[in-house]
Amino acid sequence: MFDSLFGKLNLGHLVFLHGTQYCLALSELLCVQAQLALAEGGLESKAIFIDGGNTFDPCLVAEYAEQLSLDSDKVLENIFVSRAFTYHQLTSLIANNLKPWIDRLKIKLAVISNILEPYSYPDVAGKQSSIFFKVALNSLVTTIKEKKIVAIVTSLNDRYFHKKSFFKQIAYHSDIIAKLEDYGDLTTAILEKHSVSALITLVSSLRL
Amino acid sequence: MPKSTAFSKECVQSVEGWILDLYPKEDGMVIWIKTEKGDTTRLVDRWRYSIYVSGNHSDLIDLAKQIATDGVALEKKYVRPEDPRKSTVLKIPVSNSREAQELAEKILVYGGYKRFRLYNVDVKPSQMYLYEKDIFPFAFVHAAQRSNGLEWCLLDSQEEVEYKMPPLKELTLEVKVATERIPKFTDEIKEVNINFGGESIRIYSGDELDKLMTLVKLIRQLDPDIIYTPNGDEFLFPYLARRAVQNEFSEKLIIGREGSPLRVSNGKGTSYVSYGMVHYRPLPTRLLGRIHIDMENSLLYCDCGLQGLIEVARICRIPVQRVSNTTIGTSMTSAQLYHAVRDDILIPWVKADPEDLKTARELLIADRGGFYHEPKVGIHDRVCELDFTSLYPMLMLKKNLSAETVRCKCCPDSTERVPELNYNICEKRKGIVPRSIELLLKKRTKYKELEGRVSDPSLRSLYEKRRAALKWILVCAFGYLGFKNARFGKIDAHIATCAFARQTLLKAARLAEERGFELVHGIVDSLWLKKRGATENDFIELRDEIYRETELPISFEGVYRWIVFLPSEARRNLPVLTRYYGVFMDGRVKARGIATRRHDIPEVVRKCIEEMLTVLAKGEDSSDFYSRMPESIDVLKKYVQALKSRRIELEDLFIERHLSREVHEYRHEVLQAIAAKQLVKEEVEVRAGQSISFIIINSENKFSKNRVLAAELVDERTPYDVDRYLELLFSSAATILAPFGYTASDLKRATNLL
Repeated sequence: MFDSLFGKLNLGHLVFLHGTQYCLALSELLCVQAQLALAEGGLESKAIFIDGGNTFDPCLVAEYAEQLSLDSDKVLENIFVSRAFTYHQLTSLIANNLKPWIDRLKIKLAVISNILEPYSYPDVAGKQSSIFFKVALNSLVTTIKEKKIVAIVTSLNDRYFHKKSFFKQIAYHSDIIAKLEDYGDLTTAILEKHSVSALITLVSSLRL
Repeated sequence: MPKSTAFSKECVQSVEGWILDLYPKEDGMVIWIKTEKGDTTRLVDRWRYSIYVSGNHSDLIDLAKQIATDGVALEKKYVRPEDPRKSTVLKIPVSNSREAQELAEKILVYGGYKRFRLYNVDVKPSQMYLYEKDIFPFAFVHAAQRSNGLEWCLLDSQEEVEYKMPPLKELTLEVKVATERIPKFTDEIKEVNINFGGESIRIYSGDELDKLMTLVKLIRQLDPDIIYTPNGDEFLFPYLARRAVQNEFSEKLIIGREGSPLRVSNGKGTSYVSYGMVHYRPLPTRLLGRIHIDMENSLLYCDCGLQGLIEVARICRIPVQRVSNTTIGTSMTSAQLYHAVRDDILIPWVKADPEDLKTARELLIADRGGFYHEPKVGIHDRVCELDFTSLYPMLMLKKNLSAETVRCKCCPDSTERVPELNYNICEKRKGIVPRSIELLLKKRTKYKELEGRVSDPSLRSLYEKRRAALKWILVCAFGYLGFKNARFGKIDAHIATCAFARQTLLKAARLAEERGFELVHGIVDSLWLKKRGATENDFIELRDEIYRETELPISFEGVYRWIVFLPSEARRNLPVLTRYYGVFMDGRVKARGIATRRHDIPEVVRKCIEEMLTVLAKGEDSSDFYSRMPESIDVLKKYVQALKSRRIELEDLFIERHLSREVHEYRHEVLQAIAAKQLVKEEVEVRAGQSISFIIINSENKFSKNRVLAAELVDERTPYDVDRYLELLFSSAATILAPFGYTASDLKRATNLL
């Protein structure tokens, strides 16, 4: 489904999804699909889910697995989760832990969910969180290129975009940016950036 | 008039008394001692505290060369509590908290945010001093001035429950502002009121400068140890300081004992997030050498009084003034930091160690919170309530649950395992968290015993307050295990505690069911049970058996004559776990989750529901309850009439709501935002996390600004929206009568409004 919307995901790509809760659903679904065989559009890989917003829902993941006629227990065993509750933890996960985990678990898909949230809490110091955000993002970009994995980065709440500089930095490094918006029971996906056709912005209103 | 004395630097002297206050100054740590005679003595200890840096050895050497100040040295410390051996770290002495913070930031930059980790940076020097010297506030001590600093001899014990108190001098300070509207910093002082030892003193004559001069003179003469203020942090002291500037008196506005003037702080309070809610804390006003207690902004003081504050200060080793104006979590953390410091474990500046990687399947099993058993909506007769006492802290203590002990690296084959998850628990060391709560649990039990033993009501109230204060800390101890900024917390330890709690409740429920009891409801640490023909003794026997089986204290709360479990307002067939009311055999009413317990409900509604419950509480059983329902609806009618005929006092109509964001960030015209905007227009500073009180004057008005009026702007001519208040009344009444088929419309009909 992702391929049909935004084009094929290539190893080494950074994808940024922002907007509604559907970003979460989509990123969780991708963790399931990543486990499919290459011929079935998967990556034949386990997935890592680094959760910056404490939003990962294993029950939903199990449902997706069942919808794809997969063994839900096995699918859940192949997704590795770590939650970050502070920006220091998230930075540490991305900058220090991600690379060894990728090596150890032979991961080809990493999701960094709600990446902006820990850096944008009202009670965190602006300057320091900005520096740590930069450290985390640079490290993520290096890891993606070096380890040839796909990374999906999400932000589920556009109110964090008051941190415009964060958004710009992610946008700069992303190969694909998509915005998801809800209109009642309709979810709209807007492709805001694609590395292959950098200046093309496709607005595709699809019933997802 | 007792005078404050100070040790001279040359001679060796000693003093005996209680540690009243302490804080760092340029020349070291200043400590105020209150003697038995009532004098105060100022001591200075030439002590400096240090921050620590960990990193690669050569990087540390390089950093030491860069810093090159006195006292910089390599030392051996535990960098993490779980470390098997000490590591080499760099110790850097600093003069104060600000220097520590600035230096730490520079080191981070110098290390490219990767090479160094910093420790002990944001621990208050006063607390660090208490930890290192192994003393505590309000401890009775002997201090001797030696050539190399102060020597302390502790003549007191934290374990003591009947400790002696110093002869404290307490003063209450209030200021009246010369304005009819909302007081502002630009308004002049009308009068200052002081209450000291039961005597009231009014300062009202002369001009504003005269009043300020008299105030300073009186404070110096009376020399109080504690100054209570209403809203002193947010308004009174900042106001006095600004008036002093206006009168060119700011250098002489001395309220503390230190002789330094009260300063106007340009800083703002703090908005912070806790359990998903934004809270606000004003900047505290610190009076050096005295204790300032803001009676409106100190949660612990409001709940547990001065006795509660002192108990927490003693047990958590944190100055009383800080206990009064900081979060309970900060006090609880201080108890943990003490154990870390005593064990040579460094305190991380920021918590960067993330959750251990787990599979999604593991997370599904692990992240399940507490035990619950849904109640059947409706009324139940003769139900008994059993509550585990401090269940979560007890489990943390007994099962050794702490960040460094759950899934420790040193005992993978430990026989101590977490149920359902099979996580190993350390067998080699006792965790910092269990050690820090051990004394709290012990003392709480002792105070409870004493309460039951003493007949003197004032003594009983004293023990009650101390116990209540300890309960706050214990409640916080579990929450902090999973709190993002807890220094020695970790989500895995939090998960483990929940798993043990679920196991305990399940065990207790099964035991009860095996004995023929029916589990009516269960949640987190409480069980509601019934059995046909069971007596109070049967329930007590069951409690004792559960205690024997679980080895965890469990209390018998009582047997309800009847108890009503309430449904969700949106889905009437679904119960709400924490919404119920009932009456014990002795007539006590217990209610949760209804209007009588909510803060966002106007007083008029709360009073009405309380009165309705009082009527229903006379019912001996469910059938008697039903027969009293018409009488309770008569109560509702009475309030409806009073509202309609506008006989309700305006204060009873105030609605209090929380600001979840800054005023300018509100996109929708919700009532609290409208009221907050009115205050901003009046130049009142309003911040996210503050509570706003208002009256609904016309909820349907097309101009949002006319829908409500902030409480501060209300006068006797303010109208109120009768229909809206009636709606609130009916909806709250319908909540308690919902299991019996009543809706808000039914109640309107019953009170002839439809």
